[in-house]
Amino acid sequence: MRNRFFIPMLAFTVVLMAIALYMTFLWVPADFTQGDVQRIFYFHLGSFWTASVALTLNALACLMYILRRMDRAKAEFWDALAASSAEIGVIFCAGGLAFGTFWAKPVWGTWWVWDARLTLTFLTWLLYIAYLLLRGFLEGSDRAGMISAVYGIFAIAAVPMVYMSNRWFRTQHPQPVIGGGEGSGMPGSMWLTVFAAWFAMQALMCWYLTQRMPLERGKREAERLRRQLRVEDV
Amino acid sequence: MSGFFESAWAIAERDMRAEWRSREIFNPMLFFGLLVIVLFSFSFEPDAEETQRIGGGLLWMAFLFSGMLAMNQSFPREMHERTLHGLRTAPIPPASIFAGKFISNMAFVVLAECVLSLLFAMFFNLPLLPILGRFAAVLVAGTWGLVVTGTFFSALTLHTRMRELMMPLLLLPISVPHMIAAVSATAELFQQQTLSQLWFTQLIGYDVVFTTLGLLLFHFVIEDV
Repeated sequence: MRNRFFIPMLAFTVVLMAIALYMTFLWVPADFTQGDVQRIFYFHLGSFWTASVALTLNALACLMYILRRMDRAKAEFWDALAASSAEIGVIFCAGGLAFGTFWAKPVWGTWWVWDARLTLTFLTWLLYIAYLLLRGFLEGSDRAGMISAVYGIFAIAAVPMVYMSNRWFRTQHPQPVIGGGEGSGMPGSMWLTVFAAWFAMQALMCWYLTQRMPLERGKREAERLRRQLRVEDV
Repeated sequence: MSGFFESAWAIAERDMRAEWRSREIFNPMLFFGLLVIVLFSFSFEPDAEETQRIGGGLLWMAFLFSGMLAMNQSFPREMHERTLHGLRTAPIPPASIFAGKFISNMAFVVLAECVLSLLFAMFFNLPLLPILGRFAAVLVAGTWGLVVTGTFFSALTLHTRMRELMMPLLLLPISVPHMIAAVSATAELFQQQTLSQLWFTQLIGYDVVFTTLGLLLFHFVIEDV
């Protein structure tokens, strides 16, 4: 199902993605200590930033659904946004985790460690996979929107809990580059590449949302009509 | 507000009386918990020192899995005779239904946990007596969070397909931070006989946040049952 955003948004995303890839692999110099493998970092960070934006959108949409539940058109909009943004969040979180493991193997010598930051991300990912599973199991129910919105609020409330339960873990993860203290900064060219990768992914997210949301709303409409038919049959 | 507590207590009392007569939750829960402990001890064969180290985790896994049996049935039981519909149309605050169910589940689960802890201490020769007060505090604070989310999800999954599968799938990821705190606090108790302020505060924090959310959001969940 294509709509009027399909081609222009896709073209925009492809151009931004091409620029980001060019900057990542050819333009930005390799890291002095880690070499070429550090280039994964740009898409690793970009994925997590995009996932954070998507999951924040999901929380907002869940809350707005509950507040706007009486107005069907608005409620359906927020429900569609919640469903689509959770999917985006899970995909980009998975991408970020995968990029991270590809980087960790050569640099740390292991694919995975149960480190604070990794565990936090992994658990957040699991929470939203559960959200998507719940939506799947609710398909066809007229309570789907409300039930999944309520779980969405529980899930976002659990994220800071996960963060706190991890605060005393030893961390092997590099310190944050933003406000990470002395010696944690990056040269300007690396910053530009980080933002280029992030913008490209953000454009991909927007393109997906413009395609996925009408689909979700169409699905809800079809379910409603089917229920109506069933009632009339009886 | 008195109506809230009165109706919550009335629901809890009815559940406890029904359970006293049928024992259809408590007995399977206790037996299941015991099986988990036995299976774990065969899988790990811990010695005395190891038991102190992994005992907390072992015990909480048994609590979690057996508690899930009780909570999973909490609201579906009300569907058979359409009693949930009756509760919903009764002139009581909807959150009191949740509170009542929470109280009765808490009673079942804590009681089962007490028996399981005694058996655990006996099997693995753990001296529970010197740490009894602190252990009880961790047990109640840990169980509270587990039961509050479990009871809520039991209502939340009423309308999903494969309900009995869905409830643990929702409950387990959300209770991981709570389990980390409960397991760490218990392990520390077993090893050093001290209760860490940090983990205990986290348990209480989780309890407060999810109890509040549960009470606030419950009426949306049972709106059109």
